[in-house]
Formats: sequence, C-alpha cells, structure tokens
Amino acid sequence: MAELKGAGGAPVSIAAVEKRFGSVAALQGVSLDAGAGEFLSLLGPSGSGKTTLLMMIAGFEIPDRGTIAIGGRDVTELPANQRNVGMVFQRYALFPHMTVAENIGFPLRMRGLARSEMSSRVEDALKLVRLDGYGTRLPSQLSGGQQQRVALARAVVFRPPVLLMDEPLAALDKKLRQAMQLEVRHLQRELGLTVLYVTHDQEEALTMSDRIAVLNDGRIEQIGRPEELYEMPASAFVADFIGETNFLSGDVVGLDARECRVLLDGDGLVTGRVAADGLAAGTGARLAVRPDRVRLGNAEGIEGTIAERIYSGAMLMLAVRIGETTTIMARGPSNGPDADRSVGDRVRVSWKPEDARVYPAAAER
Amino acid sequence: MTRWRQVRGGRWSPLAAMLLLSPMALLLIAGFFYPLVNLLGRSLWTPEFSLVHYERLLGEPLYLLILMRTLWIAGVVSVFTLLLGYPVALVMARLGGWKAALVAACVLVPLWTSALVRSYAWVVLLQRNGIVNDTLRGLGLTEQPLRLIHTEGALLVAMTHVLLPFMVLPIYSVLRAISTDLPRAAANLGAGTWSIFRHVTLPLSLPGVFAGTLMVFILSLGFYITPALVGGPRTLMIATLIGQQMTELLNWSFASAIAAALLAVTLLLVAAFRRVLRIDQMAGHAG
Repeated sequence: MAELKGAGGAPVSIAAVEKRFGSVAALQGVSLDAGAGEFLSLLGPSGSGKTTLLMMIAGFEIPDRGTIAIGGRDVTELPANQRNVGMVFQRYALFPHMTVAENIGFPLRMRGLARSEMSSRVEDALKLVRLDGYGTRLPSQLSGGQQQRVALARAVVFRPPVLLMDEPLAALDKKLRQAMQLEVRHLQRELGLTVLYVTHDQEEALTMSDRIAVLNDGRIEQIGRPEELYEMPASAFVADFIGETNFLSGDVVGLDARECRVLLDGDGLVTGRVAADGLAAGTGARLAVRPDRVRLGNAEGIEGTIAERIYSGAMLMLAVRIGETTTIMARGPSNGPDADRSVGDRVRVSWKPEDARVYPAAAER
Repeated sequence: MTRWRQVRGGRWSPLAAMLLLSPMALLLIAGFFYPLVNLLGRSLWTPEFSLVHYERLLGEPLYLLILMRTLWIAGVVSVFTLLLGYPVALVMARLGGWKAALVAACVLVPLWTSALVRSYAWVVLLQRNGIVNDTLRGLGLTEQPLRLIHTEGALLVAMTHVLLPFMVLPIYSVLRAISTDLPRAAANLGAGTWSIFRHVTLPLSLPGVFAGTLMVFILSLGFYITPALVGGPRTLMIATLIGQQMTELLNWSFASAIAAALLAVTLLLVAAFRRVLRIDQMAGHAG
C-alpha cells in the first residue's frame, strides 16, 4: 500500500476563469485555491458551473480567460493526457471490454511501466479499495459500489497529486453512499491527495469537505469551512442551499452595525444579525433562521399556531403558522421539550438574534 | 378464463403474438420458403433423384473458378468498404449537428438511389468512349482508350461504391453508442489520440465492424446487377451465372443446384462469422 503513496497532494490554483458556451456564461470570473492535501468540494445546483470548472482542471475544456495551475505549474492549455490528475466520473466510465485489473492497469500501461511493476501496483490498488481477488472480472459483473471502487482505484493507481471527482456517489443508494463517503475520505487522507469534489448534495459536501465552494450561476457565492457556511452563510442563496432555512420577508425598521430589526409582512417584529451589505431602514429584507435554532415557548416571540407535526425518528419537526402567509419550521429532538405539542396548539416562536441572519430582499442577481 | 387470454403487464399473449406475426410469416412461407424448397427439389429430382447437377458443378473447373472468384471479390469488397467506411463512420460519430447530418446524407442518398442506376452510372463513366477515357485522352495521358469497363478493377470499385452504406451505418451506430466519458477517461489516464482509438474506440466498435463486414460480404456473394453490368463475362460472378442458366439456357435444374451451393456457402460463412461475433459481444457487451 505504501507503493501507492506518491509525493502527496499538490495545490490547485484557479485564477479569474471565464467560460462561455454560445450565449451562456458557464463561468464568470471564478478564482479558487485548493491547498495541497485539501478536500475541497464544489457545491451548487445543476447549471452552476461546478462541472465545467472540474472539466477545465481535467483538461477537457479550455477557459476563455484566466489560468489554472497545478502544483505551481500553469496547465491552462495542457492536453488532458499530460496533466497527471486522477478523475472519477459520475458513471464510473470503466472500460467495458477490459477486466478490472486491465482497467486499473490502463494508466500504468500508458506510462510504459514494466509488466511486473504494473501487476504489483494493480494488486496494491485493489487491496486499497478492498477488491482483492476481483482483478479478472469484467466491470459488468460488479455491483455499482464495486464499480465505483474500481474507478477510484484506477484514478489513484498512477499516484496523481490531484484527484477530481464528479458526483461519484450520485448513483448509489443512501446507505452505500454514506459508507463510500467515509471510504473516499479515508483514502484521501491515507494518500495525502488534493481532492476537488463536485456535488449537488449539500449534506455530502458538509460531511466530507475541509472547505466548500458554493457556486451559483457561474460564480462562487462563498468559500469556507462547513461550519462557516452553515453558521454564517454570506448570501441568502447559500443560506437556502446549505441546510434548511426559514426565510421571512419584511421591512427593515431598525439597524445598527451588528443587528437589524425587521417588521414581518405578516406582522411581528424580529431581530437578526446583519449578514450582507445593502440593508437600510425602510428597504425590504429577508431574515433567515435555521429550524434547529427556532425555540418554541409561551412567553416571548411572535405568536402562531402549530399547523403540522412531522415525526422522523430522532427528530421532530413542527410547522408553526404565523398570520396568513408565513410558516416557520422548528426542529428539535423527538424526545425534547416540544415532544408533546400537537397540531392546533398556540405557541410563541423566538430565537437568539445571533442565530438569525438578515439579507437584503432584492435578491442580488 | 384460459391462460392465453389473460392480459399480463405489457406481455403479449401467445395468440396475439401469433396474429401479429402471421401476415409476415405467410408472406415468407409463400414468397420465400416455398420457392426455396421448390428450387432445392428441382436441383435434386429431374424427375428421379439424382446428384448429376451437383456433380457437374463440382466436376467442372470453370464453375469452381467462378465460385472462388465470387468469394474473392466479396472478400476484397468487404475489405475496401471497411477501409473506406470506418473513417467516414468515425467522422460522422464525432461531428455534431448539421455537419453530421450532411455527412449522413452523403452516405444515405446513394442508398436511396437504386443499385441499377448507380451501376449504369459506372458504365457511363468507364466505357470505351466514357467520361474517364475521354478525359485521359483529352489530357494527353493515353493515346488509345483504356479497357476499363468489364474488368475486375471496375467491378471492385463499383461494388465498393454501391455497398459502402451497408458498412458505414452499422459501424456508425455502434460508435455513437460509446459513451463520451470513455475516451475522456482514457485521456485523463494518460492516453493520447492514437492510444484512445487503439485501446478504447476500436475494440468497442468491433461489433459494428463485424456486422457491417458480414452484411457487405453476404450481399456481395449474391450481387447480381453490378457484376452483370460492370463486370461482364470475364469477371462472371455466381449470381450472374445463375441468371444465365435460368434466363438464357433455361437450365432450371442446374441453376437451382448453383443457387443451393451459394446458399450453403453463405450459411456456412454466416455460422462461422457468428461464432466470432458472439465471442466478441461477450466482451463488448460487458458494460
């Protein structure tokens, strides 16, 4: 296994990259730095440009403007086959006419390795993904999870410093996906690889990443550690995309450097942290608060009625109806203090001001 | 309710299946199977059972020569169409949008023109005072008109032209079905353009190559119009021989014996080819 350890990871540096496909701007000035050995996720909805960015790092697309460097070397226009980066494709892209061992040996063969060296490296790679003994099978004789592990072994067997992964777990069922998430993370640490991981699954990104870059409409909305993104989303988009969020619309009625008071459309005065520029008294605002930070009580806060009670094992979700149009979701442990509240009960909803964030209403772009 | 009348999710009952198949089956039985049996019968009963026609076919070197020539020409035409057709299929599969449509049209339009018309076109081009000879003499390259028509070369060129679409289309459809991820993955793993073709595209396209080759080869074996018009008597092929025996010499029994021999050779080759094909598909379909 030690044989598979290369020189560890290399930093990847993307500077002001732009790309258009016809009239569609896929990437509009994206800059991003992944440190050596870092697990960085590119998270965003479909069409956000995350896959295009990955394809550029792999060398399948050339940016219109900007540069891409791997390990300090400019590779912007280097052909894909000379980049020496590993890649795991969404549908594995195993060669159907080659056995598992031939698939894994392919990059070594392309590099002209001696047969004996090749087979020992392939054996090591198979052990690494716990598929020893499967070398002579064809990909079609393996399950989805096994094919995934073969793709992974093939992508690291030539000791690339950087591993690119394009939604590699999207096709697996939930249990298998979670097991593979741990396995990928373990492998990345073991080999010291820099991983760029494209996903649209925010939960997956939160679980696996050192840092996450959230992309939207060809731009990076925010880059940060998972906690930063969850606790301090820089925009309403990030707050909405990462985790669950209650959004409440209203008008700014009071504002200082830290906090902002908002009069909700459906009546009720609420307070949250200022989270973005562009707030002024009298303008529209959106307040975001996580369901798990919402507290239910009888003394303080805005008044409402429990409209729905959703039990999901460990957690209990209560939907509280405020006025005509607003619903606030509150979540807590299913054996917590709110466990015996039932539909129709009157409650008061509140939260700590530091748990809520206020963004300008005119959604920037 | 009896079993065959039950409607089960999406499956045809045997009766419905038979009803749907019967018009075609009747046509085949009446128009193809019966004449075939009749033909075989004529070659063996004249009117008593006798192998005399087969003895003549195998005993006369001329007929064996024609059979060998037919196999040779079919083989060469298969190789030519493969060499010319594969690159075309490759380009068609790579191109997108209107460019692919244009190439596809160039391949398909000849297919919509009858083989008779195309063969006559070759006659016009290659005949003694045809366009090719006139041009060559006009340029001062030759003094006397060259003998182009009724040569094996002319026949090979014309048959390759006529049969090319049958090679291009199966290869194209197989190439189109190869996921674009596979060449990309190969490039990512360090393969250059040639290696990608050699190790990924080519092996995955082999089922199409086999299908196209088999189709062209079998069509060539029984090809009648083009050999008759462009090939002439010196490059007599087996289908033309059968036609002569039937229409000119009215020797139906002997014609039947040759036809039976052609059928036997064809079936034998198909069976041999299918074995290769099946082995290949086991590897090729694993995915």
